[in-house]
Formats: sequence, structure tokens, C-alpha cells
Amino acid sequence: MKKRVQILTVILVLACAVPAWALEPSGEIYGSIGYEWDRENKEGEFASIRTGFRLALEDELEELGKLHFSTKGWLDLKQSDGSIALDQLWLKGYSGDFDYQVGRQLISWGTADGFNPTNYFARLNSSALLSGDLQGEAVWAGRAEYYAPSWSATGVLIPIFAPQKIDDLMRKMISESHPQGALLLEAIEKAKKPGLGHPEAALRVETQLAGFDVQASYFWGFEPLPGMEMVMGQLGQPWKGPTAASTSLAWPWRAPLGLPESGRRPLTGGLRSSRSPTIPSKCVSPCPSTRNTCRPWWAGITQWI
Amino acid sequence: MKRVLLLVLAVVLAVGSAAGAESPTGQEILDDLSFRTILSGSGSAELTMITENAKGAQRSFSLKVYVQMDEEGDAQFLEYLAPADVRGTKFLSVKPKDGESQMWLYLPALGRERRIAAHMTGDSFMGTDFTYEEIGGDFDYEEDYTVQRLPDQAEQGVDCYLLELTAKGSEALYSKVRMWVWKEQMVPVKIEFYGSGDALSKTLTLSNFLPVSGELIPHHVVMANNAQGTRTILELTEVSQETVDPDIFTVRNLRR
Repeated sequence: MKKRVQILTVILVLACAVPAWALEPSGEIYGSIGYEWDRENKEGEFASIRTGFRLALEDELEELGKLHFSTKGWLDLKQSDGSIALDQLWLKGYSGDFDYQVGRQLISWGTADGFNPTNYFARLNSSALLSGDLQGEAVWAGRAEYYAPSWSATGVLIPIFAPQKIDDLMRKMISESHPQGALLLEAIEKAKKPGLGHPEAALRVETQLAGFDVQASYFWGFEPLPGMEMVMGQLGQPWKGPTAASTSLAWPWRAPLGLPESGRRPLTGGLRSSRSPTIPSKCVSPCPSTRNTCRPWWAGITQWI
Repeated sequence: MKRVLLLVLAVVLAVGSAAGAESPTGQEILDDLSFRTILSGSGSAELTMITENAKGAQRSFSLKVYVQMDEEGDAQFLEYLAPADVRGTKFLSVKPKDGESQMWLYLPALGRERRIAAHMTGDSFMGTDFTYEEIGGDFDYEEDYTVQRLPDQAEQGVDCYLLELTAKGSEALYSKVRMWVWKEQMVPVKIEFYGSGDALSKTLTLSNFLPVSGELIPHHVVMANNAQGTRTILELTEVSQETVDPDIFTVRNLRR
């Protein structure tokens, strides 16, 4: 009951706001039907009948900036399930060569669609590639962009880390992929997330070279899902016999450098080098006391086309 | 080298006559066309675009377009205003005087722009019967085609020169183009585009010419896809000849 009242309140606020701010609406409504066929029993049934929507309201603040609100949701008539959530809520400002944007926003990073190795912010759900919904999740962030005549730079700061959401399909895949998948799933959900003291940040420089859009970016932040750490320790002293392993889940720190590009030629790709120093100071969950030194970093280069 | 522009809304306007020649050649007619955009160098316009499928079902869009043509080159910025599901989609085309054209399409759902690669410029623009190349004003008759004059014909009730442009090589998007040029006003009123095997691919029809700032501008433009039976109709609603801020034609403005 309480939830219903809250939703109603939001709608009323918007209705009142429209005439005063001249908000321009945009959005979409979509539907999907899932049908499951049992080949052995030769029976079939509708697995889902889903309707979704996204509604956005925008107000141009003359030459000063823009205000944006959007919400999205879905209703599954078959599963009797549904959801409505805030999508984006941000304020953008223009000042000389700088553009600023603050609030919950979609941050697009890199030049590729779908499989985008330099997309650190707009996390996709597990069915994004199949459904074609490549928008990704918005995050609470502050962003500043500087535009010079021939290049531009973008800085992003995310004060509170938002992990990858485990949706139903992902939950199913994890729990069924391994005999102890359910335990792993539980451990992931219980893993302590980085808090206020662990912001993420990124910097990107863009330019155009010989008909190509070229970007160089650097990202300081965490992996979207926690990684399992196994630390080998010795059992007791002075006996130096068998070792014991302790495990924990933590969000590995990562700092990849990306060089994506897109050009007039049919090539979109780039390079990404990564180093993920999972040093104790960056571990969020309690680190095993048996570990007293930093583990070596690893580095790699990924090229995609 | 003269470049003939085929801008979406602007498709071709001309002022002048065939230089007084009694029987001008096809090249002379083409050269004499004083093509300009609908906005005559720099300006903005609002238009309604209607796409029609093979069964006749129509969908209407509202767009705003900005054009700038000067000694540095040509630029065009187009933004969808309605309906709600495509609102905020933007297209930028920049063609420096001595350089290759560059095009970007901004999709609000992705939150970023996409560069249109060269091999995609012949693809359909946003599901319309126009290609990116035609929308972006980068259709280059002079470079890719040789022109020949055919016997005159009447079209839309006016006397016209009939030109046939044949592709010089495989680079050209169409194998052949036929253009009906209104003799009195020297503006094309109909253009046919032929694909492989010289099959009629698309037909562009320009009508309802009205004077704007002393120039004739087609207020009704139809691009018919003869192969698929679809049509895209452009209806010009408002035209402004006011100078456009150069900052409009930037990637920064796409993201705003």
C-alpha cells in the first residue's frame, strides 16, 4: 500500500510540473511475448507477456542547460510481476567551453555498441545483446566536459560505487553453472560493497584524426562483480605441514587504459590495457589476516575490432 | 569542380537560365544550375516527414534542420522533434571545401553519437527512402557521373530539359540518374535513380515551388522507392533565412 502511494505522488508532481516548466515528453512503449515449447511432451505455454515503457521529460533551460527526468518500468501479465524505477534525473549546465552534468545519468564510454570493452559505466543486463536494449544502467555521477577547437576532454566522478545488478537470467546462469552456484550467488550478494570512501573516476580525451574519432581514456574503479580471492596459509606454528586455504569475495580494483576509435572506414575497435592491482588497501571485504604482502599486479592488452 | 548538392529538404534550387543558349548541352545545363539549399546558404527550417510503407500505412515525424554553406564548406544539422520515441535523435553532416564529408548520428538511447562509416553512407537514413549521403548533401553528380542530354519532355505540366547521368565507375551509388529540369526556372522537378541492371530504384519528385527570399523553394518533396513500394514525403512548414550559429554544427551540439 505504501508503495502505491509513493508512485501516485510522483505522477502528481509531474502533472503539476508540466505547465510550469514546459517539459517536453519523449519515450517508448514496447512489448514482448515469450513462449516455451516442451518437445518431449509436445506442450507449450506462454512463459511471459511483458510490456515495458520508458518516459522522459526534458526542459531546455534556454541557453543555460537542460533538466532531464526519466522513468522506466515493465509489467509481466503472465508472471504477475512488474517494476517501475527511476531511470535518469540530471541537470546539465553550459558555461563557455565547459558543459557540466550532475545527477543520475547515462554515461557512454567508448565507441562500440554491444560488446564494448571500454564501457565502464552503463552496465548492460544479461539479455541486452539479444533484446537490442544497449542503453545500459544510469549511475549517480558528476561529469564535466571541456571542448577545445580540435579536441575535447571529459571527466567523470562517481561518488558511490554501483555494482552489476544480478538479474533473473544472470541468477539462473550462475546457480546452474556450478554445483555450488547457489552458494556463490549468495556470497556475491553478501559481499561488502565499496562505500563512500571508494569513489570511481575516469578521464577521456577525444579528437579526430584522418577521418577517425579517436579516444584515450583512463578509468579508476572497481570490477562490476566481486572476485573470489583464495589465500594459502599455514596451519599453526611451528608445525610447517599442510596449508589451508581461505577464500573471500572482494571487488578488485582496476585501472584500464582504453584507446577506442571509430572511423569512416568499416572498422571500430581499439586497444585496452588493464592492470588490476588487488592490493589490500583496495579490498573492501575483510582481507584474510594470513596475507601480509601485496599480490603482483597483472596487466594485459585487449584488441577488439 | 562544381558539386551538385542533393540536400534532403533542399534538394536543388536554381536561379538563372541556360545562359541564353539555344540548345545547351547536358553539361551546360548541369553547370548552369545554380544549386542552392532550401535555406539559401545559411538558415533553418521545420518540416514534416511522412514515411509510407508498401501497404500505404503512414508515420509522421517532425524535424528541424539547420544548414550552413560558405567558403569553408557545407554543414547540416538535423534534429527529430516528434514523435516521442525518436525525439532527440540528431544528425550532423560536415563537408569541408577540400576534404571528405563526415557524418554522425546521435541516438539519445545510447547517449552518444555514432560516426557513419563510408560504407554506410548509401544505407537508408532512419528507415526513410533517403540515404545518409542524400540526407547529408553529399551526393556528387559531377565526380561520379557523365551527363548526356536527351530529348526534352514535359513533366508536372512544365517544359523540361531531360538529362541522363551515367555512372563513371563502381563507386557511384546508382548506375544511372535521370533528371527533369524545368526550363523556365532551371530547377529539377523530378529525378530518377537507377540501380544495378538499370532497374528504376527511386524517384524524387519536387513540387509546390514557392518563393522564399526571392528564390523558388519546393515545399513538397517525395522520394519513392520503386523497388520496395515505399515513399518518404517531406512537407516544408517554416523557413528562416537567419544566420545560424556555427556552434550548431559541432559534435558538442549533438550531445547537448
